[in-house]
Amino acid sequence: MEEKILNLKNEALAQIVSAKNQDELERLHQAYLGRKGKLSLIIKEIPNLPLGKRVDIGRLSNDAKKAIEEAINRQQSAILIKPKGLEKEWIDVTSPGIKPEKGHLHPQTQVLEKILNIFNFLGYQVAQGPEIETDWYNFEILNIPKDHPSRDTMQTLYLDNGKLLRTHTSSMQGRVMEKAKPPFRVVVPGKCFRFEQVDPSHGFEFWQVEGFAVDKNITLTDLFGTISYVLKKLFGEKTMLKFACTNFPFVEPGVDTYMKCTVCQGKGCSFCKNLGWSEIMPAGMIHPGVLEKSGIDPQKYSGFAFAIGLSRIVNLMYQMNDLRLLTLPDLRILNQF
Amino acid sequence: MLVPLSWLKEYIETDLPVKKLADRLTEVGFSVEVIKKVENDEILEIEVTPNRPDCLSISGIAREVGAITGNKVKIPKAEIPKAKGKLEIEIVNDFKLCPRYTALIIDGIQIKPSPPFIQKRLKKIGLRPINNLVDITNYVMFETGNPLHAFDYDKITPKKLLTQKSKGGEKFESVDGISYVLPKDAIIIKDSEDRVIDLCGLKGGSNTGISEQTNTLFLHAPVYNPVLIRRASQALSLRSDASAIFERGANPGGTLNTLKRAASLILKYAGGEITSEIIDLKKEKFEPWTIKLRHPRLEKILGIKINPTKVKEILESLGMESKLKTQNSEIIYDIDIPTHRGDLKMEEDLIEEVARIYGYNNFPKSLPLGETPVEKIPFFKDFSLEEKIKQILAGSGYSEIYTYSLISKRALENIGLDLEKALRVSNPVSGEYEYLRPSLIPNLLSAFLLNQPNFSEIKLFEFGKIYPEEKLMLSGIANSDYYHVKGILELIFQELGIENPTFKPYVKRDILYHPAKTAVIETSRALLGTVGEVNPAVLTKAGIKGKVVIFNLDFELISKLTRVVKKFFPIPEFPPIIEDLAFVIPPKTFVGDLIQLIKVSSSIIQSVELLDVHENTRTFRIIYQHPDKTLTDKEVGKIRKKIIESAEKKFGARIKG
Repeated sequence: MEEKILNLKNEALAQIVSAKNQDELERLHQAYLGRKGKLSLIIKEIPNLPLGKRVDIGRLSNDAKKAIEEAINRQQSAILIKPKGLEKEWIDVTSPGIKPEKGHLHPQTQVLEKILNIFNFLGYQVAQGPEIETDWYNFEILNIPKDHPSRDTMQTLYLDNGKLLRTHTSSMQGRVMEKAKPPFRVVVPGKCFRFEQVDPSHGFEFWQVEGFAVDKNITLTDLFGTISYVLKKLFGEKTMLKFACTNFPFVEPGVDTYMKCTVCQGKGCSFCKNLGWSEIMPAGMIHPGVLEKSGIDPQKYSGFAFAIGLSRIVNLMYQMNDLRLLTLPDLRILNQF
Repeated sequence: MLVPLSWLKEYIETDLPVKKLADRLTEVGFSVEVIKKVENDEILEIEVTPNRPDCLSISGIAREVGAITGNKVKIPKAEIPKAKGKLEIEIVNDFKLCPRYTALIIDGIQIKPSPPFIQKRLKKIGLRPINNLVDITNYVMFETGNPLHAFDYDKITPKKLLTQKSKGGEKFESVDGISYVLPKDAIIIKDSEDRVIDLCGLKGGSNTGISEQTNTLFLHAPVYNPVLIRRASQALSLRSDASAIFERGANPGGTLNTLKRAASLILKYAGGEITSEIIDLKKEKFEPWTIKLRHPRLEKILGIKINPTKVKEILESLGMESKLKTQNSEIIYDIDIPTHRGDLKMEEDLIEEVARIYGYNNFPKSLPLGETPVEKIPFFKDFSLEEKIKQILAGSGYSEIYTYSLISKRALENIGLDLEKALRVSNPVSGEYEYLRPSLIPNLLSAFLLNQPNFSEIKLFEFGKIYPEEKLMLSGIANSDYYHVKGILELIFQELGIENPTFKPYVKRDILYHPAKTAVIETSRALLGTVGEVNPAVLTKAGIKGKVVIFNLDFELISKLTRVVKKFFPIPEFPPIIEDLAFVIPPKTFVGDLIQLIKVSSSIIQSVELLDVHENTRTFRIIYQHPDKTLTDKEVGKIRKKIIESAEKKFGARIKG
């Protein structure tokens, strides 16, 4: 019996050492250690042996089992390290990979997500509201009564039902403020419409992101700081900005934000009307009249508001020279993003 | 507004290089868009915002340069000799239309070309010189900012004028020979023979216009009601340099000086003498008014500390006298506002004045302090769901597009949408963009067509509103087969935790969808949308080749049904039993219904999957699993029997093998 076990072990070790691949090793494992393997059969017999022999035979066959297992493991590692036969299975690793099919998110979606994340970080909430708007929210509440000359700068598309298509997302200032109480920190992305002759930097449909903050101590420096933070987060810390005074009836003081044109690096191009600077973020301190009409006491609260020309920012972000490219659903454009 | 630098420098000294001057003007609110070089001069093209009619004049811009540089502005102050002789005219003024009416008569003038310096300047600002009288009125308007008009005194008969509103329908011939039918409520001047001699602010009448023969002049410098001027201007689509000033509000304190200045130039370059007292009709004094500015309020809004002397200095540079006082330990300025600054009405307006001259780019920057609002605002919108779905679609090969909300009548009709229900723009930019889209599909079809020449595989989607309800929709188009599109939708529903949406044959007949290859997607509670092949007739009309599948989902509904909160279920402890059952089914059996039938046969069926389709055979892989015990063959056998029996009974499906 003892001899049989030793022979079996030697036979196994010899075969294992000359095994050339994984399959062969697997077979040998089965042949000796499998359920009906040669060594396994012997081990199964152990309980039937006379009591005195059981211990010795048991130890011996366990040793043999361990030795065979170790040999198999060793040989396995050897085969893996020096995979002789595998060399035939050559592939051309320089040949192009097979990409999974993937579509592309519109650049506007990508930029909007970035913008909203920045504002989210600053504690702003997102709101969205109607594009079909009343004269009240689009104009009157914003200090633009009928016959106000500044209506000329926002030529309006009117609807057969007597309403209009909002000319700016500022229409949401009144809508949000009249329904809740300060403090507010709100951003409103959305589509706007104007009766406008189309050119590279103007369209009759475009997107804005309106934002406003109202609280007890909101200042003009807060507005400058917010605009500056947001645009630098978006375009990089070296972004060149300048502020200028301007007039919108719904802000006082009024602010215009210019960013060095990224399309032409400030040299002047059709996109920035050859100015080298692009006007991208009109803003200002919310006019007391607007707060009052929205049910907020302007002596107690102050606030700022701004409108980001989203479509224009997308253009500037990717140096696209025409707003119309954003509504052109051409995969040759979309696949770049 | 065109501003020649040489003309500007007559009223204000400045050493600033023109580029720097332009930058500073832009900073204080007068955006310089172009600097043009002409001969030895430079012309600034300045955008003047509607609140600053005073800056539609060279002296107005000069005052701004004065504020920037701190230099004193020298606006010509004219004095005229006393009237000689006396020519009569009677004015019946309606002060609601014309709050101030200033005029005089000059006799014995001679019409000839205006002096070269006036002609040159007018040309630089884009005006064509005509004769000394017309040119002088234009020149003085651009110098001072108050419009004037000259009539031929001899043609006014009898010598009585009335300012009134037009009734509408009156005929009027302008001095340049164009006939107009007047709208209602335009401001007009009639003589007592009921002739309209002036369409105020817009055009003078031909019946009293200046000609070569004009000898006596009736010259007026009025201030009109801005709203009425604007309405008339819009009704007639007629604008003039004067109407631009009037509709924004002409300086009521400036008419007298303007009239005198024009008269003095006329005497100098056209001869003649003054033959009437100055007529100056007004009911108010039109003197500077006072606004109170609280220093603490100024600092609170601006967010900076600023010395009161600096504030006073800025106000002075703008031509505003201020008195400082202390009230309840607050510093307060009482500020006198000159009449040309009609835009300054309240404290905030003055805060802006201080801030803009202080220089916006000199301000420090800060972020709002105070608590961050967390309570959900009205109109709150969560974009995360949209972003998630967009990622899934992009990951599945779909590209996102944004298209116009406005579409053409033809685009609506091509897919059989009801024109009556679509909302129309009353003043569209063009027929291509006339209706608010009631569906995203027309634009997806056009987008597909656009890409057809360049791509063999086209998969597009759009998130967008449809109108008039402004419902957010998710629609897509692809030239893949129905099952691939359906699979993506199922994946989306699964990700959103929308349970068991069913796809049922679409029975409504419309021209867009293929009648036998379209499904409606429902849950037990709502209709989520449709998916199916586009009717070949529509594709042919659109010029699209091949088969195209579209989907159209009501995203608003979907976001309401979404369950984003995930719940953990422990890994099953007991092993499942997996078995494959093959059925031979009659043609046109809906396999979805068969799967549903198998699923509901027992609560221990975890899943039913369609494993294989071969001719009339459908093989299903069924996983049985009990949460509390190991299943026996006997238990599964019972369920199997039930499945086979009901499949046979309900669908005539026979078990195979």
